[in-house]
Amino acid sequence: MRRKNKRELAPVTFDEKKLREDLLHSAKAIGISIGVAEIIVGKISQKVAERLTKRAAVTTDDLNRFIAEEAEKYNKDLAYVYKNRGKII
Amino acid sequence: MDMVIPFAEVILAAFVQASLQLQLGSLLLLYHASLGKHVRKKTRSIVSSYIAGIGTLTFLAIAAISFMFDRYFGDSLYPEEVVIIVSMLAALAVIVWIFYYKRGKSTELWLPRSVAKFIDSHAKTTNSNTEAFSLGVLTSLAEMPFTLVLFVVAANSILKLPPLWQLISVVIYTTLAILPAVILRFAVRRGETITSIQRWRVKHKTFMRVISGVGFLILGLFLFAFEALV
Repeated sequence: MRRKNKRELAPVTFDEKKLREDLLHSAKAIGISIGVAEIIVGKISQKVAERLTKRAAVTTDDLNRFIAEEAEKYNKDLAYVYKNRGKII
Repeated sequence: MDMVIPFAEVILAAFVQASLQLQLGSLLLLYHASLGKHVRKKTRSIVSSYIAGIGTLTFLAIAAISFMFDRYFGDSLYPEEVVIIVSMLAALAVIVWIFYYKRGKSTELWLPRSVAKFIDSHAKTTNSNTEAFSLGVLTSLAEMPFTLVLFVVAANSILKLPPLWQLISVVIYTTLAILPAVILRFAVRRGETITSIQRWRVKHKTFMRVISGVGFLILGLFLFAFEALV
């Protein structure tokens, strides 16, 4: 099992606006058209925000996993991006 | 025949460097960040600057080591020095086989995490050609623990060639070393996505590890046979 570093375990402050921006960048980077991306991003960020309201604290790793799980329903490539955050180099 | 062996060593060393994965990983991060922020033309320009950064550092490093060898060691290394280099290549082969990639379904590399995070954060915030060029230089520097011996091997071989061929060899080495990044750039231009390329890298991780390790080992054996035993 991969040992998690301090940064991955550190709590982060969730900002839905930042998440939308980040998701839009990622969606654009993998070639999803702007119109489709905006619809998908709206749905994903809303679901992720709902899931996070039930938790007292969340780590970057958790957040990426939640996003990947929600993105999986709409676009596998977008989900793959979030599953592999911080695992490229 | 006088030129064939040194030239083959240069090419083999360049292929071994090309098989290392840090420059490709950083390039994918840069591509992903840039495609999300900029139009494709700007992204292509940023990526070209990144590749130019890698190429420039590689070219200058080999040229500088060749100059130092020529100035302080004469035309070629002593057999004892060659044996030390061969031992380092063998050690690197083992390190690449066992440690270079981390376990799991990712292409995470055996790098200090602070260095990986530094490259990661710079790739995400790179917006200009100058920053991309610096990122290319930085990535090459981060890979130096593996590439420095290759530079030494190449420089030693280059000095055995006629002056014009020395320059040509450095150019060929640099071109081969940046070839994977150039191929990746054209693959994205042809319509491959970053995720499909990353999936390919994960799928063929073992193959790449074996190629790199065997490359280091073959280069070591080649050097031992033609430099230490002759």
